[in-house]
Parts: sequence; structure tokens; C-alpha cells
Amino acid sequence: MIGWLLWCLCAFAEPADALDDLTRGFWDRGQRLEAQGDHRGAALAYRMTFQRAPTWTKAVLAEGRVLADAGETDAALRAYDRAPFVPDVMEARGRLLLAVDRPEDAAAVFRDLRRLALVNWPEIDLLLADALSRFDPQGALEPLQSYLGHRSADLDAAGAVPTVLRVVEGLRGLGREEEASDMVARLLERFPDADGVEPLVAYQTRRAVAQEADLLAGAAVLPLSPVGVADVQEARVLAFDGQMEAARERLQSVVDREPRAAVAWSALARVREATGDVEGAVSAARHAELLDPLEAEYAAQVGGLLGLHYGGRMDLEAARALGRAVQRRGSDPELWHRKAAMERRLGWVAAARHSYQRVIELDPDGDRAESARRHLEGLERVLPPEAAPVPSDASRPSHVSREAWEALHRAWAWQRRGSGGDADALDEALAEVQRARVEAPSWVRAVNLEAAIQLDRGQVGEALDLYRQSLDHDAGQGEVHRIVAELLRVTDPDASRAALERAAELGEPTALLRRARRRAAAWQLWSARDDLARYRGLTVRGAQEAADLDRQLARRQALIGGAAGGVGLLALGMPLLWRWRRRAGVGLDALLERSPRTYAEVARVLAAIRHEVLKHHTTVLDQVADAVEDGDDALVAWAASRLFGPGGAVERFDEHVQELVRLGEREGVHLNLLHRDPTFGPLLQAMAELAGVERALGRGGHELVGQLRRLSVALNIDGYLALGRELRRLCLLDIDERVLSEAWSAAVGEAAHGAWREVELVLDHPGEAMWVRMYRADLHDVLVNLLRNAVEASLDDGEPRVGVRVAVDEDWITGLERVELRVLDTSPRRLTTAQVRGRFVGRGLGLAVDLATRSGGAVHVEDEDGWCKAVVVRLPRVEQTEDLA
Amino acid sequence: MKRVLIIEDGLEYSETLGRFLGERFAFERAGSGPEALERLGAAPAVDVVFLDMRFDRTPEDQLLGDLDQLLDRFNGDPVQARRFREDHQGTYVLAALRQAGHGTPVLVSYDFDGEPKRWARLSGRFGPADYVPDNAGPDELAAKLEALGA
Repeated sequence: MIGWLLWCLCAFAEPADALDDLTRGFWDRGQRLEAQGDHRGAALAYRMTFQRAPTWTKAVLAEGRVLADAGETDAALRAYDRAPFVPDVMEARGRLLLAVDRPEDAAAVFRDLRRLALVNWPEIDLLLADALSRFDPQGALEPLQSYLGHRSADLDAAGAVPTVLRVVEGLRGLGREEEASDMVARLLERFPDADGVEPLVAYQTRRAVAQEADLLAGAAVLPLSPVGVADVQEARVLAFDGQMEAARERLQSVVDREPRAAVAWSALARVREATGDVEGAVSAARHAELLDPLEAEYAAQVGGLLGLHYGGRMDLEAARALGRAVQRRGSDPELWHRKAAMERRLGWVAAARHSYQRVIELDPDGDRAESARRHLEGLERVLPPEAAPVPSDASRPSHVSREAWEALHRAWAWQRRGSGGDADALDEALAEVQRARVEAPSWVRAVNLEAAIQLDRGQVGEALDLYRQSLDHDAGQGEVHRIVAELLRVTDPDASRAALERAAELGEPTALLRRARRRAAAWQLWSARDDLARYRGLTVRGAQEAADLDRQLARRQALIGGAAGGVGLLALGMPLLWRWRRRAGVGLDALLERSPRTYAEVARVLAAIRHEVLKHHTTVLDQVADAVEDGDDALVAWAASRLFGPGGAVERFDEHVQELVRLGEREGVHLNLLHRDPTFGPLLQAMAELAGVERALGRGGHELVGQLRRLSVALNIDGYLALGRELRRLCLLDIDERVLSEAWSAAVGEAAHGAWREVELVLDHPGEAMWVRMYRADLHDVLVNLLRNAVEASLDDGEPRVGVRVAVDEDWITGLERVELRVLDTSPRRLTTAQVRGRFVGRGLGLAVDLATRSGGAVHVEDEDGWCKAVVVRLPRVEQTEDLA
Repeated sequence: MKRVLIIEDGLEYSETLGRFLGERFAFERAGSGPEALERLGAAPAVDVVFLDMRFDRTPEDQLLGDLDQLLDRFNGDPVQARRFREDHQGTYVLAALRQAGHGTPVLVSYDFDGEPKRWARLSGRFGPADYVPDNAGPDELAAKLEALGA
């Protein structure tokens, strides 16, 4: 068989000088008749030519061509049969069979052609794929992928896009969406600008929207609470110190308390991986990504775990996860490298090539060889059971069809795309939600979403009408009442107030808080406190503000209500004495050591004691001693009320001490300030002694006078100075060049990217001490996050240069200074203060905002000469005197 | 007898100073910056102002200082902004007095011993002024008031 084939090939090879005159005459006649439109005559002439010159395969091709043009397919095929194994003739035969809608026959011909494999002829793969795509799209995948893998493949020249579209449609018809999507992704990576790819681009976009809609429908992330943030930071410190088990336990407790905090799951995954619990790490990382599918870090984490620890078995899943991550963060060479490794192992040569090229562009001098070894381990590992995915319509109401459900989530996904001002995306969103509403006209959620989309489009009137419709369907929607209130605030204040009132009645948290404020200002204290209690039971947002306001109102109530001084003192004094008897516990230093971030609250309490108790009340103790000596009963009585009455020194001091004790309990620390704290011990003893003076005041005597004078020294001098020293030494930190350099090393070192190490750091420090009150690790985290963002932004679309400038600004009225940390970058990409504070730009900057706020600081985005922008952190500057250094 | 205007949010100083120094000075009280401005614009003239620093019991609408600006200072945190305004209300009142053209000497009740540079800036900007720390007794207060009113 092979020999016969070879003979045919040799026999039909075209000679250099083929035709004699007569034969040439037939050939020329054939061309003339063809030009005149006489197809039959031309065909006959060409046949005669071939009969006289059997190696002149051009004649066969010509005969077949003119017969095919004349619509005589069978005759044309018979003509081609005269040279059945000549590649050109086989190709022509195959093309004719395709043209007359006989794809199976065409595929058979092209398969035969492929088997010949005589020359590098990638177009045969494409032709075979074309034929197969019409009846066996799955079968078309392999030849199509083969074609796309050829270096010489030219999509435009080959007109291959329709073939790809057919293959994609065919696969989709078979429900093979993943394969279809992979095919399109590879093609678009290779030929992003080919003619006719728009439908493919649209298909990928719609698929991404559909996938994102599915993910959003199942997304359920919640931000971490302040306590959770502190715990996660603490766990990081523990892990950094090598205490992995402790870190793991801490993180486990966070996710147990806050199961929808993706960041905690991600941190737990890291620690589990570090302790060798790979299955646990994958579970936790998947959890994080399920909760927050839009964050690149979690997708990268999943991809990294699957690619690193499963010996190649999960490369496809890893590649997909890394693909998702790269979509979110395209400037990271490590991600591209990992993606390339997966693609290479999967045999996706073109895609891997492209990915490696991106790595080189981003990290030209990197060393990646070592990373390849990590993928070879763990072949015997067992995959953990799949976390039960949340069905995308688990919460679908029974009266809402699946089509409406899906349309609504597509609308939501479009709305998210359009939130940056993309009018086309918002139009798509509107179309989808209206589709959903056609299916489910009374579905309140769809009405609300349509209203929100109209708001995004700037159509406030339409939005308001829709919200009112929504309330017609369900008047019990507090949040909608609140939104209506906000929309009407300017145009119809009365209606706005009524709507807000209704929202508060329905328990809408923001409305409750606003009403509480309004009632507090109007001295409706009890109803304001009721609102606050309800608010605090509903949400943790604004918890601090609500708690502060509640305390203020409680104080006002106490002022109004009054209290019998002696009974009140007795009621307070007994538990104080009882507590003082207990000797177990620790001092404030231990609390600060265990929970260093409580320093701000501790400082506030110490300052309050110093100001409210010592300043306003106990400073008169010497004068009281004089009054006792002189027998001035009126003054003594007055002093007694100041010291022992409601709101007096003893009561206030006790309140503040209890505040510290509660703070300790919250942090799991039992404070024993009397016996275990060198500052508070003497203060508490002095206050206890003072409390005991009340009864003695009526008796007078020299002993009492001496006691009062001694207490004056103990409280107003020793206590006052001791508290001042404690305050001033709390978490003092000098932001010097060393601190900045350490942060820079951490920011660049952690990334370990060659391109990052090339970035120039421009440091500008005034050279004087810049004392602030901030936990060292917090400042480090703030700086590292800001620097990382600056480097990433500068590398993405600027010059490889980042700056840090330290300056001071002064508030003209208060005279207080702030230290400015100005982190500068060269990226022209727009960033606003509102975006940073609103946490719209990633968790690193969001964390920096949280930490700065906790230390009494603020973050702004500002212009800077010679740079594109500055992200500025301002922190209160602490004025240092020599004795406190 | 020197006339002293005490600006405080409570009654502690008024009671203490009135009780112990009432025979040496004529004390009046204003509970907020706006109230103080109104009083200083009327007769009889005040010789010295005694100004508390912290005003956490004054109604919010009586506090001086732009809360919106302070919100920006604290990343939009209203609790910190309000607390800052309360804790440093004395400086806002002092600045307002000067901006309104009142040159009356001011004794500030605040411990600037630990913030000498800050005090140098404030006193240079809003003088004539002096300060007295929180633990000063009536005698020290009297000496400072006498010195300022001289």
C-alpha cells in the first residue's frame, strides 16, 4: 500500500517541461473556452490534456474546477478521481465536498491528506477542523488546536474564525462550555486582532459575565470585624515568630466566629500549608475564593496550592485558577509564570509561550528553575472532598423562574461592570433586569435592582418611581424607605423625614442611628437610647460611635435622675473593695504587652483620669485640709459633694478603672491594678483611702488633716506625674530612615520579583525625630502595603521609581503637628481619597486606612511635584522632651 | 478687683475658684465659645480669661470648629472627629477670641509642660497667654491670674 502510494506520488509529480504542442493546444483551448463561459467544452479540453499528459495534474484540477463552477459536482468529483492521491487534487476534492455540504466525506479526504504528512502544511489541520466542525465539533478540537499551535498559522489568511465559531457553537451545544471557552481563550491569546473575532470576544465576555453572575449569586463575603482584624494580625506575628500552632488556633477561632470573612480563610490556608496540612489549606483557600470571587489573591492561592502540591494531577484546575487570578492582576510575573507552567504541562504550547513572554517582559532576570521542582511532589496526595458549592439558585424564591433568577444575576454582573461609568454595560444591565421582571413582575429584588441601575444611569426620577413600586409590593423594606428618604432629602424634606421615620420603625440600621442622633439632640434621651440599642443589635458598623453616644446619653440621664450620694458610694464602694481584695491578675504593662493595640484605649482612659478626676476634683484636697483645720463646715460639705457625690472624684475614678478592667477582659487579661500595677496600685490605694475619708470628715481632727495633705501629694503630684509618664511612654515610635528602609526591604523582598528589585527608592527625610504613637508592627504594615501598591502601580504604567517623603504639617488652631508619610509613585492611573477610604482599591490600602485611623491618623491621595501622585498618611506627632527619650 | 471670665463646659472651676478666690477676683462663667464671645463683646470689660481645654459636655451645636474638616482629618470617622474637637476646644475658643479682635489675656488650663514647642507656637500666635497645669491648686491659679491681669 505504501509503495503504491509512493509510486502514485512519483508518477503524478509535475514535470518541469510538460507538454508537447498538441497537448498544449488542448490546454490553451480549455483556458479559452473557460474564459468564454463554455464550461463543458473547457472540461473536455482539460480532460484531453490530461489523457495526453497524465502527469499534468493541473489539468485535473482545472477540469474539476470548471465542472464544479458549473454545478456539476459529481462530474467534478469524477475528474478528481483521475488523480486521487495528489495532495492538491485531494485538497480540491475535499474543498468541493465541503462546498456541497458533504462534510463527512470532506473530513475523510482531509484525514487522508493528514496521514500523508509530507510537508509542513498546517492548513490541512484547519480544513479537517472545518469539516469536522460541521458534524463533530468535539472531533474538530484536536486538529484546530494543532493548527493554532503552528508557528505559521495565520488566522486571517486562512479565514479560520468561522471554523472556530462553529467548533465553539458545537461544543456549547454539547454542553462542553469549558472546552469551548478554553479554545476561544487560546485563539484570542494567539490572534487577538484577527478579522471576525468580535463574536468570539463577545462570547468570552458573556461567558465571563455569566460565570461572574454565578459567582456573585453565591458570593457571600463579609469584611472582618475590628477584633477579627486584630486577631489576624496577631496570628501573622505568631506565624512570623514560628509559633504556627498558636497562629493556626487563633485563625481557626476567627473563622469560627466570622465564617464569611474571606481574608481570615486565606490566612488560615497559608498557616495550614506551612504546617503541612495541604488538604486543609486547599479547603480554606477555596472557601476564601468562593466568598470573594473578585479578589485575585484568593484565586492565585488556589491555583498555587493545586499546582504545587498535587504532582501535576490538578494542573488543569490550577491553570484555570491562575487564569482567573491573572485576569484580576495582570502585572504579576509570578502569576504569569505559574500559569505558563500549567499550560506547558497541559500541552497548551501557544498559551504557555505567551505567558512566558509576559514573565520575561515583567521579570527578565528572574530565576524560575527552582519553582519547577515544587510541582513534582505529592503525587500520592488525596484531594479533600469538594467543599459543597453553594448552588447558584439556592436562595431562589419559589415564585421566580430560573430564567428570571439568572437574568437578574446577569444584570447585577453588568451593573458591577458599569459602575465605573460604562454606559453600555449599564444598558445591558437594564435589559437583563427588565428581562427578569418580565418573567417575575412582582419580584421585589428585581424592581430594586432596576431602580439601582437607573440611579447609576443618573435617572433619579425613574429610580424613585421604581422604589415606590417596590414599596407598593412590600412596604416592609426598611432599606428602600431609607433610600427614598435620601433621594427626597432636597426636593421634599417632609416626605424624606417621613420615609426615614418609617425606615427606622422597620429597624433599618442607618435610619435608626440617624434618628437616635436627632432624638439625642432634642434631649429625647430614653427613646434615643432605645434606637441605639436596636442599632447595635443589628450591625457592627459604627459600633464605636453608637457606644460613645450611648454613654453620653447615659451620663445625661444620670444627671437628670440624680442619685443619693451616700447610697451610691456604698453601692460602688463595696464591689470596689471586694475587687481590691483579689490578688490574682496582671498590671497594665502585661495587658499592653499581650494586646499592644489596646494602647490607644488605655491612653484615653489614663488621660481622662488625669483630667476629670485629678484636675477637677482632687486638686482642692489641700484646701479641704485647711477647711477641716479651721472648722469650715460649709467648705467641708461642699468638698464632700465634689469628692464623694454623684459624678464626683471617687465615682469617676471607679468608672475609669472599670473601663480598664473590661478592656482587659475583652482581651482575655485579668487586670489586678491594685496589686499588680506600679502606677495604679498607689493611685487605687490613695483613692480607697480617700473614699474612706468621707465618714471621717464629720469628725475632723489632726489625723484627718494630715491624711488629706498626704492624699493631696499622692494624687495630685505623684499620681498625676505617674499617669503622665505612663501616657507619654505608650507606644512611642520614631519614624526614622531605618523604619522606612525596613519597610522597603519587606515590600520588595516579599515579592521577590526581579522587576521589583530594580525599582528605585527615593527617600527624603528631614533628619529630625518624628515621634508618633503607634504600634510598630502597625506602622510597618501600613508602609509595606503602601509601598507595594506604589511599586505595582509604577511598574504597571509608569517609571520604575517610588518615593517616600517625610514631612510635618501643623494645625494652625490647635498647634498640633502631624507627621506626613508621603508615598510617591509614577503611575498616571487615577486614584482618589474616596476610593482609598471606601476600600475600593484592594485590601492593602484598606488595611493601611484602618491602621492609620486606629492611631488617630488619616490617609489622603494628593498631587506631588515631580511625581504622579502621593498617598499620604498623616499621624499625630508626639512632642518629645529629653526625659522621655 | 479683677474681673475673670471662666470658660468651661462644667461648673468645677467656677465653684472652686469662686469658693477659694472669690474675694480676690470677680468671676463670671461662659459655658461655650459662642457664649464667651458674646460676653466679651459686652460691658463691663473682662480683665483675664480662664479657659478650660476640654469641652465634652457642651452641646455639639455650641462647639467651635469645622466638623467636616475634622472628619477629613480622621478618615471620615465621626467619633474621632468629635472627640478631637472636644479635647482641643480650648484652642478653638482661643483662636475665635483673637479672630474676633478680643485681646484679653488668657490663662489656659492645660499641661503644656510636656509640649513646650506647641505652647510656643500657640502663645506666639494667640497671645497674650499663659497656661497652668491640671494639678495646679487655687494658690497657683491665683498667682497666674494676677500676673496676667497686671
